[in-house]
Amino acid sequence: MLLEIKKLEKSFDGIKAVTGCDFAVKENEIAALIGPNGAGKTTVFNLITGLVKPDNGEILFKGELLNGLEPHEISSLGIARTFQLIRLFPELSVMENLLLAKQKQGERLIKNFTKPNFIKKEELSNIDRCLEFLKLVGLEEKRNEFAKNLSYGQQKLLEIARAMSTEADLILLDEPVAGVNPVMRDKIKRIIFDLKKQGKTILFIEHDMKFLMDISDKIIVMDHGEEIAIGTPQEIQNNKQVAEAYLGRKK
Amino acid sequence: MALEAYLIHILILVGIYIILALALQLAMGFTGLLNIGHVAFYGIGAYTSALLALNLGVPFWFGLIIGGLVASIFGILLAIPTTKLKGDYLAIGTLGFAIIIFSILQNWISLTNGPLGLPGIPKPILFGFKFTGFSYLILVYVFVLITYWIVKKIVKSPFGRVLKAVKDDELAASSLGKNPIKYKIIAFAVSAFLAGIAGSLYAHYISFIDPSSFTILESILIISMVIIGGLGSIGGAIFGAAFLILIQEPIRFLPLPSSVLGALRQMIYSGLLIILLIFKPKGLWGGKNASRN
Repeated sequence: MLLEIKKLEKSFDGIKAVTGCDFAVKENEIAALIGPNGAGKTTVFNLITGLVKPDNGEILFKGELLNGLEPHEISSLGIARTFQLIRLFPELSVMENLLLAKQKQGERLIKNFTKPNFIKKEELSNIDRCLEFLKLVGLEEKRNEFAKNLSYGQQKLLEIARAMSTEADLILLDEPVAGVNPVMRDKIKRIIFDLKKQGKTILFIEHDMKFLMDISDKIIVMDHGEEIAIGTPQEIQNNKQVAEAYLGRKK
Repeated sequence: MALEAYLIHILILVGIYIILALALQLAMGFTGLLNIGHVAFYGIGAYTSALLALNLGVPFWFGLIIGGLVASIFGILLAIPTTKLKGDYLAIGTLGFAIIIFSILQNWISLTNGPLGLPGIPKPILFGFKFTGFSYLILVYVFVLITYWIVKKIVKSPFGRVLKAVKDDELAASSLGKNPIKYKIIAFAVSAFLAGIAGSLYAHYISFIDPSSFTILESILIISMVIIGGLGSIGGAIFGAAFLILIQEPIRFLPLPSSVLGALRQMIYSGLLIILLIFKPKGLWGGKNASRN
């Protein structure tokens, strides 16, 4: 298992957001995390990436315990993410947004003064690499544009490209196709399949049923802070409990 | 001769403020740290270098570096607790720091001589050559160039890109593996170091320092320089510093009694600031920094 969530719990000021959530994601799997609004999906993402700390339970990545690590430490272990509300660096260019995803020597202050030539070479090779990711999402023409000047759909693509540029093994996407037009949705679908082909593992939150049934290997359904069903798209479609969570119980 | 000496004096002040403004631009404009305590680093540099020269006979050149380093250490000490704060809270934290340093300069009389100040700070000497007047002007501008080079290099480097990312969205930066606190502390330390250097240059030029040169008002002046020039612009910091020092000068020569003149200067000066900020909110030099790559 690449990612294991065990009896995870988190409350905010007495309100229980996650109440004993258990699930696991296998290597090279596309897994969807679904559930009604307020089910605790984004909180689970925030717990995995260290933005909030769990009260109880364990998060294991490649067998290593993530509890208590800082977001930047977790990122360095190979987990990248996007946000439900896009979080780019608006005042930086598209290319700069991607370059930031790379961990490199040039980000150490002193190296820029002691090894300027090495840093320049490193920067050029990073630009080449990032250009490939930009081509993949079709934004190479926009590379010198400020991120804030992109359209909503392009910003979503850029955020995904940025997560890809970290070359993380596990990529968490928080509603990758929410508010995106059908053409863009197909593009994002292709990108996710591409990532799987490259050996990456994807865990994503999404409400678009058609989209997630199409691409997922596994679906994890959450309600009231815990997982209520885990299975293939077919299994989930036929699960009574899931229908109740979404539509309410029959009287 | 009098006019020449006056011009040299003004240009030396402009140079010292350019260093201060560039240093603040690095922390405030590029990293987003609203530091109201900038003047404290300036004061620490000035007093460290002056006290070393007066009490221990340490030459200017070492005093300058030690002044910068001591300011930088204080910068790190200030940054560790305050960089967790944001925006207004950080501003208040740094304001408190500036007041503490001012009180120390004012009240630790056995060390700083309190409000009476430190007279007789020696001029720099290199191989028997004494820097004074025009040669001091050249010396200051050598340091202006060095500061410019350092800040420019930092801002254009991948390290500087992380600073800008931390300013734009700290959370996104940390989810890309950057430790925002580490970067803010380094930015604070470098900014404080450069301000300390400016303090030392000031002390050895003016030869007499007292706490009144290092009040919060001085911080506000430097912040105004950075904002009027343009936040996040190197040219802006230079321009803002020169502009705010030079604009005060012509008013001095109006044929009015000095009691009126002082008040008038303040009024024209603050009026100009308000007008500029209404019509040029991005600063006179801002909004020009095109993206690269």
